[in-house]
Amino acid sequence: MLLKSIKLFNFRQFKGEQEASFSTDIHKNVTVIMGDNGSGKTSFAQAFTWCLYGDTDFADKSMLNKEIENNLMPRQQVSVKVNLDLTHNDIEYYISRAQIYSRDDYGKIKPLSTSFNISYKKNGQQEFVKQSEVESRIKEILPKELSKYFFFDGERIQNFSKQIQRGKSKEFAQAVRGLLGLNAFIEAMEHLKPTSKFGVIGSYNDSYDSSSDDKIREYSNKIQKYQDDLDSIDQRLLQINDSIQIADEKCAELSNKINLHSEGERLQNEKKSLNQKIGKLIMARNQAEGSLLKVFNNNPTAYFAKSLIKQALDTLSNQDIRDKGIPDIHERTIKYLIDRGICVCGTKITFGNDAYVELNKALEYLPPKSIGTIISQFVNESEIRLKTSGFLYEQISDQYKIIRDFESDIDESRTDLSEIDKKLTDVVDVAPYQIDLHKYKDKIAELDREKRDLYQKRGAYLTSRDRLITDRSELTLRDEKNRKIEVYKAYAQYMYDELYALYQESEDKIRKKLENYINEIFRSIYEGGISLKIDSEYNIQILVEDTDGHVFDVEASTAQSLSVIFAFITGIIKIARENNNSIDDDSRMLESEPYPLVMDAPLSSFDKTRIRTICDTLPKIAEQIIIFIKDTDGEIAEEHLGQVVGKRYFFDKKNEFDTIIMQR
Amino acid sequence: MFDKEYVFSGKHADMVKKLTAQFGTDTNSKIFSRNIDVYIVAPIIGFLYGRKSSIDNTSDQTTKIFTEQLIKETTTLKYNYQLIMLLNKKQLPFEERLDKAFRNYGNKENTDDEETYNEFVLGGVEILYEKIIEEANMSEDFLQNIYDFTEEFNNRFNGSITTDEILDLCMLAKK
Amino acid sequence: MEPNDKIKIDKEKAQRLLKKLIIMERQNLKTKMHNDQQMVKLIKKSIEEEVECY
Repeated sequence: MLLKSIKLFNFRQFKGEQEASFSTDIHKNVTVIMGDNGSGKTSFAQAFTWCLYGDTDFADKSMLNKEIENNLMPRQQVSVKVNLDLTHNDIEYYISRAQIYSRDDYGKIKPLSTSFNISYKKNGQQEFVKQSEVESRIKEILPKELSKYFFFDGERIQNFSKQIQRGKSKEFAQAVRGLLGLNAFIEAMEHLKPTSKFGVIGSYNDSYDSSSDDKIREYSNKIQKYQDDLDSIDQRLLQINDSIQIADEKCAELSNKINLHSEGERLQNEKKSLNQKIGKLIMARNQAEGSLLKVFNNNPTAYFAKSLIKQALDTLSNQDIRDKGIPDIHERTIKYLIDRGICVCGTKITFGNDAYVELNKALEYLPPKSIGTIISQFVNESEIRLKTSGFLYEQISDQYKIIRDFESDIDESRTDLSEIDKKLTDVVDVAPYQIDLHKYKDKIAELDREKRDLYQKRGAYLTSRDRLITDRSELTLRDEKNRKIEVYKAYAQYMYDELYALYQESEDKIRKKLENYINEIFRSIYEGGISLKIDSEYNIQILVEDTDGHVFDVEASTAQSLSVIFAFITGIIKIARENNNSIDDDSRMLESEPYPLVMDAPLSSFDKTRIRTICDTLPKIAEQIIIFIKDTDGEIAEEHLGQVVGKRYFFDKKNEFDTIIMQR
Repeated sequence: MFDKEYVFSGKHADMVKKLTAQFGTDTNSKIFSRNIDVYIVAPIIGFLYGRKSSIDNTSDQTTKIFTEQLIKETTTLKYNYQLIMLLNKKQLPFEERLDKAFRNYGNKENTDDEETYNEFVLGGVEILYEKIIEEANMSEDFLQNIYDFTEEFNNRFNGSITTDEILDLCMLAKK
Repeated sequence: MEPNDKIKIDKEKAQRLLKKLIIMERQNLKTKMHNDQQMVKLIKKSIEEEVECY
């Protein structure tokens, strides 16, 4: 496919009608478009995408030039159009997409109708591709999955590199195969496929029906039913495998996370038991405190007074207490005498007389008021107090020590707790991960069960089907006409088998070739211990060789990703070109056509040496190059590409909303 | 004595309140359970540390001990009183001290002795407050201070005495 | 794969058919003249023709 020219009408910054035509010269196959950031290079590149596929990567889905939009009156309509001229498979196509915008009564800009046409020149006449077929035609000219690589947006590299490295897109693989020239094979195999009802063999099976033998028709129906069932089983198995793969990946991911964070669970448990321990310790300590205070409050006087009691008793026992009392006379005696009114000596005792007063005085010194008695009482009291004074100091001392021990235990535990808390802040709760992990494991088990069931069924169906086929075959051989059909089928089958093997071989070869080219190109840009591998689905792995020769996967840097993609595309283009130019019979079976390379500002990501390498490699690889560069890269590009540049443009940015494409 | 309501006032009231305040989470976390508990111990402490103090009227604070409580503790209070009187002011002849402790106890004219006793009470309150409360403001420290105070007291006053010794003395004194 | 041991195939014929098929497919990719159904018919025709030939 070669791009001839593009015309823009009011497309984004490109106000009014603007056009550019591209160099298709064999030697000077480079078209350089220069412009600063914001001048519209990306918009221009997106014009291709919009024209071919109807959408862009822009967040703002309105393609209408802002100036035109602002000047649009209510109910007025304006059209945005992109026309693309290109050749593909020796046919010249004119692809045109238009979108009408209008301002409604509320002042809002609304997109109205859209039109998309593909026309081509045939026998001097312009013919239109049927509307129902435009989509598939575009797909054939350049599938959308691949368009991103041919309209190479250097600044959106990361996403692309991820796709290439981990692309699970079957469409992508298919598209690549197409580019590599394997399409004829693929088509032929599709047509011959024995399991397809609409293929050659299927059609022959159907044609058994035209024979008068009902039995054969019956067999054919049954066989087809088994075939259909087998097909859907196979499909479901593929699905299951995909799901299992995804679930496995998830499980691995979750297990990793859980292991990393399983600390957390253990720490939480520790924390819980520590808290419990602390609680118990605090309780015990408080109890001990209570005991201590109780001791302190329980008759402390006896303890504190101990030394005084000793002294007092000392004094009392040493001193000679002269008892002023009269021996053997008790208070009772005196009272009796007073009552009697006569003393022992005969003196009269009357209330208030001298005898009375003296006798009363004596009471002071007689029991029970005698000092001796009182002191006895005092000493008894002292005894009692002493006996109950206990060991206040020892008890308090003991309790105090116990309290302090508890407190230091509590402190220790608290310190441990804060250590754990510190660790926990780094750790994530794994409970939800584990729940998910279980879910996924269950899912996998379920899928496995289904798989086993399906395999069993499959086996059974295959046996039944094959038995029926043999039976039918026997029947058919009896009939002359049907016998012929068997022969045709045999040829078709043989062809299919051969094609299949040939295809595998060719695809293998081509893929290896692609891998080699890609590595070659990659190494010329990016020396040093890195190689690329392509698998059967055209996923690319970047491998790094360390000094010991070990090889491992690696995340690509921007420059590396760019180089990978660049190498990939150029590899494909190179092969496509070879197929096209090959005289070799074998290779001619693989026919594909060259593709252009439209590169949007990749140079900014490379260093100067790489730029030079790229500029050297490019023109030799692609049939046609259209390259966008910044003003600042202009000189370099000119220096390295100058010889092969066929056309030059630059984007003259008048203002935010108006860029003009100027030829240099 | 000890048959009517007793009132702590001024700074002593403040001290007694603090000595009977709850310092922990438990309602039983008090250095002294009740005012009367302070009142019982204080004179002994005051006498031993040789501290007397007079009634303070610098603030309106008061806290009291009810008559019923005092009456309940009469035996102990009387005993402590007698002990102190017996041993107070060794310059006083023994006879006089004996009188003060035993004979004159309960005499309404005993105001001097009563006052002396009361001064020891207030002095003891001050000592207790200084030793247990002043340096602390957290319950651990109260406990520490109680312990320190008890230890200091033990070393200074009770260290060389065993209970048995004293009991022997009792025997002696009874004769 | 279907058992076809009772039927003999001329390998040369088969290879010729194969080459013809690829060329047909390639051509059709370019011109888009025939749809799948038509292609299948054409293939069948060429097989039958080849088989009948000597």
